[in-house]
Parts: sequence; C-alpha cells; structure tokens
Amino acid sequence: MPYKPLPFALTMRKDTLPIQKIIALLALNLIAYVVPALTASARIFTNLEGKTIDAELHSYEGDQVRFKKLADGRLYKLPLEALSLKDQSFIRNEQKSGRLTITGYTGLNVPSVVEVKKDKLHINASRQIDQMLATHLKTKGVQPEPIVDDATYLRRAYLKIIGRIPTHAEAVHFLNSSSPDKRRQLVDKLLDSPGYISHNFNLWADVLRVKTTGREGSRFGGIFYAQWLKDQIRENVAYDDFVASLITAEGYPWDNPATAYYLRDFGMPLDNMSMTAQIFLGTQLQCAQCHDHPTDNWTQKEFYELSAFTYGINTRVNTRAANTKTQSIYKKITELARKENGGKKGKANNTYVMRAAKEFMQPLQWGVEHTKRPLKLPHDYQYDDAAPKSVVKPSILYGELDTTELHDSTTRVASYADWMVSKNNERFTKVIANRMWKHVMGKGLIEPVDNLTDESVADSPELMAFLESLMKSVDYDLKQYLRVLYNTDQFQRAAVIDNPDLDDDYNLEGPVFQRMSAEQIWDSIATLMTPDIDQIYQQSYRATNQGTVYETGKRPAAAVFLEEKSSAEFVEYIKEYAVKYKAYTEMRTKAAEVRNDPKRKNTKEGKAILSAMRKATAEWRAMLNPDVGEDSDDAPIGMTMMMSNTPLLSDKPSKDQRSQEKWMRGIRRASELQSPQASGHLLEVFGQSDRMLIENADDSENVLQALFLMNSWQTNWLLASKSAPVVEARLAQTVEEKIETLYIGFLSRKPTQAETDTLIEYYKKDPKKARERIIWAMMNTQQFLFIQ
Amino acid sequence: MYKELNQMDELSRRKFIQYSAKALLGVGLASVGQTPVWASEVVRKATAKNVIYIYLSGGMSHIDTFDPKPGWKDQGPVQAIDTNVSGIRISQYLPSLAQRMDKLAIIRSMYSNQGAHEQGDYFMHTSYEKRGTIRHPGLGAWLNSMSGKTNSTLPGNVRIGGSNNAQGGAGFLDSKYEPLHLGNPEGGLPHIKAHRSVDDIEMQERMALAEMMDLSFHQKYPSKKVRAYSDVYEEAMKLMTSKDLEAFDLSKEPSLSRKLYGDSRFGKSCLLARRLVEHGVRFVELTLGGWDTHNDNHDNVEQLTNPLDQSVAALLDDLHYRGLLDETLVVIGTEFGRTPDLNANAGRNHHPTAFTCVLAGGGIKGGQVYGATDERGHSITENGVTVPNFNATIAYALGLPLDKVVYSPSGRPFQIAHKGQPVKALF
Repeated sequence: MPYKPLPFALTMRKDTLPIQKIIALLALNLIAYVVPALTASARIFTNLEGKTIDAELHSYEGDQVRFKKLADGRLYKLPLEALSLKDQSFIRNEQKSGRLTITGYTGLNVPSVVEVKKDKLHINASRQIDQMLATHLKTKGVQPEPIVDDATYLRRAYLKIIGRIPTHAEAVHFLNSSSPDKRRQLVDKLLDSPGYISHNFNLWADVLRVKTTGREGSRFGGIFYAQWLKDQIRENVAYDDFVASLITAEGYPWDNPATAYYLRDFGMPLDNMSMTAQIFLGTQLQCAQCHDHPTDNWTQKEFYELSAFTYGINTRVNTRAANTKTQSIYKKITELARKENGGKKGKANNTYVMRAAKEFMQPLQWGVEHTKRPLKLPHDYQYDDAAPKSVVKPSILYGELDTTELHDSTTRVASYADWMVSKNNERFTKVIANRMWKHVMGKGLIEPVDNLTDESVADSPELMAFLESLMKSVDYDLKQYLRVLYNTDQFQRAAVIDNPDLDDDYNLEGPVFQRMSAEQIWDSIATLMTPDIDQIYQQSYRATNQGTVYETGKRPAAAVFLEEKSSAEFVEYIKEYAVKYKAYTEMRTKAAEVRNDPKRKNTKEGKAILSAMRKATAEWRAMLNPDVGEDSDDAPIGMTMMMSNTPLLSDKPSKDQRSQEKWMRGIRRASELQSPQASGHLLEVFGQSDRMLIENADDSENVLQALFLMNSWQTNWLLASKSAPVVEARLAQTVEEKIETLYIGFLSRKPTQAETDTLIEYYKKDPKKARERIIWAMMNTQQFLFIQ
Repeated sequence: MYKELNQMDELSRRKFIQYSAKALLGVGLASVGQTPVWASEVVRKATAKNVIYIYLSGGMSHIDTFDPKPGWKDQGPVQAIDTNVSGIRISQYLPSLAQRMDKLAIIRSMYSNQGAHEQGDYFMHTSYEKRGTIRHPGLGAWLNSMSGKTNSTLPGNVRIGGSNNAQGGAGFLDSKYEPLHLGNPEGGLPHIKAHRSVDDIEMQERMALAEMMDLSFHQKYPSKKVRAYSDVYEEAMKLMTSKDLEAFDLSKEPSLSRKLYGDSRFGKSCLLARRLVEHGVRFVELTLGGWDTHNDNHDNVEQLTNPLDQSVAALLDDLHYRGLLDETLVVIGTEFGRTPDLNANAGRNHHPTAFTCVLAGGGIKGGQVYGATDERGHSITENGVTVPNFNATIAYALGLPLDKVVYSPSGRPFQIAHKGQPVKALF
C-alpha cells in the first residue's frame, strides 16, 4: 500500500479564493483576516467602541456570543452587533462552517500534533543545566548575561521553537498575561503547535538534503520523503527509531518514503556512507574513501569495512528480472518486439513496443533492494594490510559487534543499524545532544557538530556529559529534550555576540546572537500577511520526471498494474500504450520539422501537424499516467482568508498584477513550499540551503536582500497597507495605539516614548504616508532580521 | 575621479543619516563599520585586470574533454580531434574550442588532495583546506580588497548561476567583498529601482527612521554581522544610482550576439559576464553544474559540453574583437577530475589525482599544453600543478602580492594563494 501522509484531526478548509479576486478584495479592504491566537480559539475581539477583549469563543445562540475571557476565565455574553465588523464576519463564518454552535466551538483546524510529555523532572533538569553553567562561568571568571524582558523573550521563543515571529494577537496575549508561569506555558504551547513541525522540518531538510524538485524529488522519491519527514516530527517519533528507519529502509519510496535516504545518493553508495557517518556519528570519512584519513584516525580499510555493511543495498532495480511476473511480461514484450522487427533477432531494444514498455515501467527502476553484491577494495589500493580488489568483510569503526554470522545484506544492515542507534554508541548520543543544543542556543558545545574527533573538547565537558545522559533518559524523545532546554534560564538570557573570527570569545554566557535563518525570515513575512499561516498545509506534492507523474500518497501506474493486473492484461496495456507512444514519437519529429521551417510554420498543413502533435501528446500522457483510482488526499490548499459577504470582482489583471498574484499564492510556510526554492525566491536570496550539501544554509548578508527590503512592492505596498498589523491598527482609536499595534505586529515590542513622539508628528502631517514610512523602516531595521 | 565619487556617495549618505537621527532624537549614532584599506602593493605589472572564472561544479571528466586518451579501454565512444594548433588534440565534444586552441593554455597536470565535492570546491576557491574555525576568502574578494574596484558604483565581485551558498566568498575579509549573486542571468537586477511612491528625499527619511528604530539595538549588538548589513545597504544605495546599470541588462545585446553565445542559461551567463567586465566589474564567476557524472558519464558529458563549447568559444571571440581579451583572464576550473575506469553504471567516480583546468587571455600564452598524464589519464607524468599554484598563477596575472601576509581578525596569517607559486611558463 502507498504511504499516506497522516490525516489531520479535522477536515481541511478548502475555501480557496481565485487570486485575482483576493487582490481585488484586498485593494478594497474587503478581506478580514483570521487572527488566531495561542489556542485554537483564543483571539482578541474588538467592540464597536474599540475596546478589546482577549478571549476564547465559547458558543453562539440567537444573536448572543459567549466568550471566555483569558485573564479571569469567566464567561461573558455580548450581542453580535456590538462587535467590530471584522469580528462579526469571523463569527458568522465560524458558525456557517459548523464549528461554532449553540453549545460550543471546535476552533480552527489544528492538525493533531503529538503533545510533549510534561514531566516535573524536566524542570529539575533545566535547573541542573543552569547550575552547571553557573559553575562553568565562575571558573572562567565571567558573568552570565541577564534574563531578557518579556518582549525579547517572546520573539525569541517563537522564532526558536516554531520558526516565526508571533502575530500581533499572540504577542498582546503574552505581554498582557500576568501569570508568573507564562514563559513555561508558552514553551509548552509552542512545542505542541503545528509551527513546531515546520521549524524542525527545516532543520532536518537541511541536514538530510531533502529535495522535492528535480530527479531527487521525483524518481528518487523526495516528494514522498518530505511529507514522511513532517509526519515523523508531527508524531514525535524517537530519534533512534527515526534513524533506524532510514538506515533499514527498503522497497519503493511511495510505499516506504524512508528509502529516499539511499536513493538520494543514487549511484554513490560510498558517498552515502560518508554522509551517514557525518550526520549521525559526527565523523567525516570522505578522506578515507580514497586514502587513510590524514588528520583523523580512520584508515581507508576501516572506511571500506564500514561501507561493506550497506554495500549489498542496490538502488537500481532490474525491472526485467525483478520477479517471475515481470520476467514473463518482458518475455512477451520481447516476442512482440521481434514481431515488430519482422521476426529478426536482436535490436529489440529499438522497437516501439520495448521502448514503450521500458518507459511505462521506469518508476520501478528506483527502489531499495538487498543483493549479494560484495564490496571490493579499489584496484589501486596502496596499503599492505590487504590486497587490491580483495573482498571486504563488514566491521564497525569502534565498539563491539560480532560480524561472523552476517552473510546476507538484510542482516548486515539490520545489525549495523542496531549498532548505530544503540545507547552504548556514545558518539550517536553525543552528536544529537549537541546538535539539538545548537538548535536552541545557536552554537554547539562542540563545533562543528558533524566533525568530532578524539581531540574535540566541549566548551563544558560536564554539561556535554549531562546532556548525553539526559538524551538517553528521555529515550531520544527530542521534544522532551527540547522542553528541558527551552525551560533553562540560559535560554532566557540576553544573546551574546560570537565573532567567528575570534577564538575563545564566547563562554556560554547566554545563547548566541544570530541572524534569522532564511526560513525564519520568510515565515515571519508570511505571518505578517497571513496570521493563520500555520493552518496552511501542502498536503500533496507532485513532481514529473520524463513524462511520469509522481504524487504524494499515490503509487505510479506501473506499480499498481503490476499488483492488480495479470501479466497478460499488463502486456495488453503496454501494446495499446505502444501505439500511443509511437504516434507521439512520430508526431514529435514531424512537429519539430515544421517548427524549424518558417515557410511551413504558418501554413494550414503546418498548423494541422502542430495540433495533431498536441493531441498525440495528450493521449500519450494519459496512458502513461492513467487514473488508477488512488486519489491523493487533498488538493494543495491556497490562502485561507476569510471575506465578508461582498460581490466578487472580475477584471483582467495586468502583467504586474499577475506576478503579484503568483507571489501571493505562494504565501505559506517554507516547509509547505518546494524544497529548495528556485533561484531568485526570497528564501534563496536570504540563504536557504540548496540541499546539495549537508547543512548548507547560509546566513550572510548580500545586496539583493537590501534591495528587496527597500524597493519591492511587498515592502512598499503589500505589507504597508495589507498586512495583518495594519488591518489591526485600523481598529485602534488613537494614533498612539496605532503605532503600538504596528510595533508589536512587526517588531514584537512596544515603541519607546521618543519613537512615539517622533512618529506622532509624521501621522499629523499625512497618516497614509506615515504608515508606509513606518512599515518600510521597520522592515529595514536590523532588529527585524536578528534574534536578540 | 572614481575615488572621489565613491567617497562622496558614502559620506553624503552617512552624514545625512547622522544628521537626521540627531535632529530627530538629539543623539549620535553608534559607530558604523570601519573598512580596512590595504595599500595596493603591486609586485609586478599585472597582465590582467579582470577575471571571468567559469567553474564546472561536480568535477569535470578530464579524459572526455581536454585530456583525451585514445586507445585507453575505457575512453568510451568519444574521439580525439585536431585543433588549430598542430600536435594538440582535444575531445570531439569540444569542436569550437578546438578551433580556438591558439588562445588556450590547457593545464593537464592539476592535482588536489580533496576528493569530496564540498572540500574540493572549497580548496579550489580558497587554496586552503576547509576548517571549522575560519572562512577563507575567494580570489574575487582578494582581488577587490587588494587592488580595488574600477567602477565605484557596480559591485566588484559578481557570481552568476549556481547557488547562493557557494564557496569562496569574502571569508574573513570585509563583507563588502562578498560576491553579488545572480541566480538568473536574464533577470537583471531585481528591485534595483526605488518604489514609485518613494523619491530621494523620502528614501533618506526612511533610512533615517530605520536607523532611529535601531539605535539601542545597534548599541547593544555591535556585531560584525550587524555592521555588515549597514555596509550592504550602502552598496545597495550606490548600485541604485549607478549609471552603469545597463551592464546587467541582456536585452541591450543585439540578437546576433545572443545567438552566438547560445540560448542556454550558461550562454546567457557568459554574455552577461562580458557585459559586466566591460563595465568595470573585475571578477565574475559563472557556475555550470552537473559534472558529477557517476552515472552514464558519456551521455552527460556530451550534453554538458554543448553549452560549454559554444558559449566559451563565443566569449573568447567576443572579448578578442572588443580588445578585452588581453586584459581579461578567462579561467575554466573544477574541483577534481574523474576516474579513467568506468564504473558499473557507465559512470566515472571522483579523481583528484589528476585533472585539467584551462586559462586564456589576460597575458596567458595561448596554444600550449602544460603538464601531462599517463596513457589512461590516471597519474601525472610531468609538471604537476597544485591547486594553490593554480590560484597563484591567476593572482600573479592580476599583479597581486602573493607573499603579502594578511591577518584575519583573530590574528592568524594568510596569503592569497596559501604560499602557492605561479606557473610562469604559462605567460
């Protein structure tokens, strides 16, 4: 059965609006945004006088709305008409959709995220970490950084736990809360929210080089892999189980997306092993592929011995010989090919029927299977401990593993995986404990996190040892581990500048001052435009390779037919398909001649050929990708915005408008877009990993970033007049409140008195210009881009 | 003249911002980044002013391109052909370059000790091995930091194609030497014009306001990375007002030259590189990826060499006719070669033991082959050239002081080509 991405708890909203209509409505300010707050249903409601109430929607009866106020937990009743138009339309829509009834409210569509276990011991562990750091700082003779204020903490917590800035409502909610425990509560809420999936997907997509585009996305299974990876995070699968499922994966990516781990390095099994060691054991073996490692311990022979565990894994499946069924299919196809050739032997490969069969079966070529293939030393092996070209027996790098009985590939891989993820494998634990510390604090206790040697010493060896034992005691449950780290004082301290050019200038006084990642920047801008951004999912990816369509949750037709049809039926289909294939191939040649001949191009005959070509192409495509009755779960979802009951406009958009529409249609979290984004996309400009190398994201500055932030229509028009904080600010009564709303929405802080005084003067002169100028300036501050 | 303009731009802007912020708030600005200036210590007269560096990422198969081995059992279907220089033969995949052999110097004896892409790529671009503790600068950054720009408003260092995350940027040098990356040669410079609602005065008002909002942030975080953003804004402002922006606009080229360079993205990149060099951009790097031919080597190399052959030939002709070839060094580099033996997937694996790079123009004597490999292209038989020596040769052509020691902010000493020695026989 094909792997189905996990279903969401509630049905997805599908009220996608044609984009030109969205634009037209935006221009008229007729769209109200859904403003979600911390819980599924909490939100800031405004009445007609501009007074606000931070509350959860409770129920709706007659014309009366019931709220549960967050501050005191009491129920309040208000007539619907007393609320702002935006809130009225929100409530009506919720009622219309069936989520809000007389008896209750089910809230927005929040997918089921497996919640973090809440254990008191976590907080004890957080305290222990802080004590160890205090001791460490004392021996170094340095002071810890102070604990940051709520506004700074808020922005950092959102960015570091779920990868985006807080919305205006979320910020107000947190800043106004007087609960003494509010930071801890926020950590738990964020860990259990869907944004956690996006943020951690970005981390692993960079480490594992997950691509949904190109060959890696299609034939090598990337589109299946990306969704599966999100599901692993959503389900909070323990890290050791997760790694084991990658290493022991077999089959086809649509059935088992983890196979993409091997397929990603198609044709490069030795490189794949180097990367496995780098990612999970933090040791770099690339050098030892060709000779003994010059600086580390490893010899070339040791590298080969490790590789011997997985060398039996084959990623190019011979479809002809795969099983008796494919053998009989190919036997018949070969007969047909011979017939096509007029009975002659040989050259069967050039017949239409054979080419068609191969094309149709193509997706079945790329899977993970075990073979008896032995690994041999290279012919120019230069050391005395073994002869060139001799067969290598598997052996682990360190530790103990009895390999005498490991004869076949399956058991070899299984025992190698057991060794890798064993609690006794100190390196395995150290690497992930250190990597996740870096994820939270900005810098590993050992750097680089994937190049540990025997000489590597952690900034605080005691703390490193503690983190390793912590990782083991939570059984590699990364969410619990993160919960401990996020609840430390250390996470709440002011950021420290760590100059990469200076050694030893950082002593763990606090987390490291960082520029946001490309994904954090993009996702924050997306949040400004669409506060319910975490509700928008890419439920299904499609990718095409040489005519074959691959789609998440579906198997390619060849795989379905092989299971469901008899070999005679299968061959019959190929025969029919070969007719279309031939027609298409011949028409393609004819059409190319017409296209290259200006004299014929515009003649009646030429046009007829081109039109026949289009028809032949469509027929060929349809038979290559027949509907096999496996519906994908959901169409990709567009912007979820709510609109009031207004007639939709329809006019012809200009070229500029069309490109703006396209951009706006792509507003969703980076994790829900293609991975990676193409050149020129904002994500690429700000340094998203190109997925070519492990952890290849880049946080350096460049001129194109500045040009975008200064001159784009997004900064100057879209964010300046249509972003959520701007919509919020319209409801504010006074200029001071408007300014404060914008500051909280964009910078997650309140303005200083001096700032307010200056900006009020701007407003007096020209409110529209003032707003555009303020938002432009906020987008072009450096505090927007850095995590304090 | 340029220098004056340059200073004026910078000063006027800084002054204005400081003035506005003071006027608004009655306070001074946190200090903005200081830019180190090296006295240009020219060792010898430069033979080249500019560089167009064509980087073939993935590792070009030397024996299927510039170092063919007819008679070797795994040479495969590709033949060697004569060039316009008698006695020199190259692969049939490169027919146009064969006719321009008189302009090329082929180095068949390159070798490296880095057999993985990331490390090999890093080594080629910086002459240093990749380390966790320092980022080494690339040649474009060295060039611009040591001998300055020739056009004050355009960036001195541009990279076209490939990814934004490529190797060999500014390293520990000032971030203003970081190459400007253009993913798409045809896109021009995105967002180069101020928005229609923003005139000069409004722009300055806005910049001042942003500075005001960042006042306490800048005081709290005087980090190099934050300062780098201030510098980048200055660069952007200069670029916006540059008179030479049309250098980025390929539509200004006649259709004939577009045709000669070819319709491929790489062809357009070559054309853009020529326009940029013509307008005073000193270092342009182009990336042509896909050379990691572990599978179906010959099919892939044949496809890859189509644009390489056509576009580089067109570039050489174009530079030549415009009189730019003498002052522009064209480089073809890659991280390593590929194994003479074909693997089970009809591909070739990584082979840093021997590979080929090519130089042309910029004082290089064309029509020569330097170094050689054995009968199967496996080992070097004469005149081995290390990666630092190769980069030293480029720096030598540019007249850069090879023995000058430059200290990183952490006080560690570095040299342009890591003590590499130029191959003077190539000039």
